[in-house]
Amino acid sequence: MSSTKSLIPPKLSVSGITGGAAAFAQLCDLYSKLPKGPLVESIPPTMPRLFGRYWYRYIRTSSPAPLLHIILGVGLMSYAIDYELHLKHHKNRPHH
Amino acid sequence: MLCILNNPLEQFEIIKLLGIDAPLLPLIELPLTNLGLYLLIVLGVVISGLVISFIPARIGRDNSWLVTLESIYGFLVNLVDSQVAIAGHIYIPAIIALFSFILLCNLFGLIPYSYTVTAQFALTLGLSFTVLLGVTILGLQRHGVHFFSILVPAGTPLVLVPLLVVIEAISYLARAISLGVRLSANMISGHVLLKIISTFSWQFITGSILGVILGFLPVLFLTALYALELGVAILQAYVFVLLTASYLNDVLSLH
Repeated sequence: MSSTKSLIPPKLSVSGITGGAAAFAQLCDLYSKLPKGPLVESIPPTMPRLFGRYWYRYIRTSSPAPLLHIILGVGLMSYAIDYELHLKHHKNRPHH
Repeated sequence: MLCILNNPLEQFEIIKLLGIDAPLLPLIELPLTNLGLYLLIVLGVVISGLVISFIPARIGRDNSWLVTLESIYGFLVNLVDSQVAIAGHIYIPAIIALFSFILLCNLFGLIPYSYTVTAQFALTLGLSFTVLLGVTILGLQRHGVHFFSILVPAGTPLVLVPLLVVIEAISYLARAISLGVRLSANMISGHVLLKIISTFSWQFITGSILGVILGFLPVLFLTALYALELGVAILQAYVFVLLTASYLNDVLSLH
């Protein structure tokens, strides 16, 4: 019998359970504290608010949008650098 | 009509953006150039991309990023398998790092107004010399003095050995130059062509009423050229790691 006992799921292990009614109450208490209903993914409270929103919307869903954001960001930054270093000097006049 | 033509090589200039003077160390300053800035961006994107790609899987969601990364990994494993005969798998991390770095540098260079770091010979030759130095050290460590048999092809008549050793030594060392120059030359030529065509397209479109009507033609051509450059950017990263794997195989199996 002992061999079949190990095969029967679930094999619950709660520390401090000695058996009987106390063990059952402890088990009920453990399960009553678990979240119920469908899985709700929320922004981790430790994250900064702006990054948390970004994480929730794009990273969590493995969206391809961050790729576009990087391209746009690098493009804007590059234009700003290029404008300051080259473009404003070439405005309406040829290169020297 | 005033024709404004910017120097197409101007885009490859290395410009100091920020600089820290170090008066305690004479004649030394620590500048941040546009080259350094884009290298830092590529480094940041590679590391954050790798870290972020694992997040959706950890919370039990579908993860298209990880699938993409695994596809690239599988592709590079196949490449190493086909090129390196003896125990090539331990070099896969190095090949992946090299491929992702070169690929992202090439692709970032295609963003309008950005800077192509792989168009700098200093960077690509630095990479290629490092690769050759690395595989040579590996070969010496693995085979000792016997490593120099790589300079004598099998079945060479004894009379020709001195001559062939010189030729093979030059050919072996030339790999470092060809590997770096190939990448830079491809990047420079592509970007110069894009710059010239786009400048002339703009002149054509804004020059006359005919240009406004037929302006879509140079734009179409420019789009096709841009797609070609996208292909070249991916292909050159692939060629670089393919040849690295091939050199690795040469020093490991000595032929």
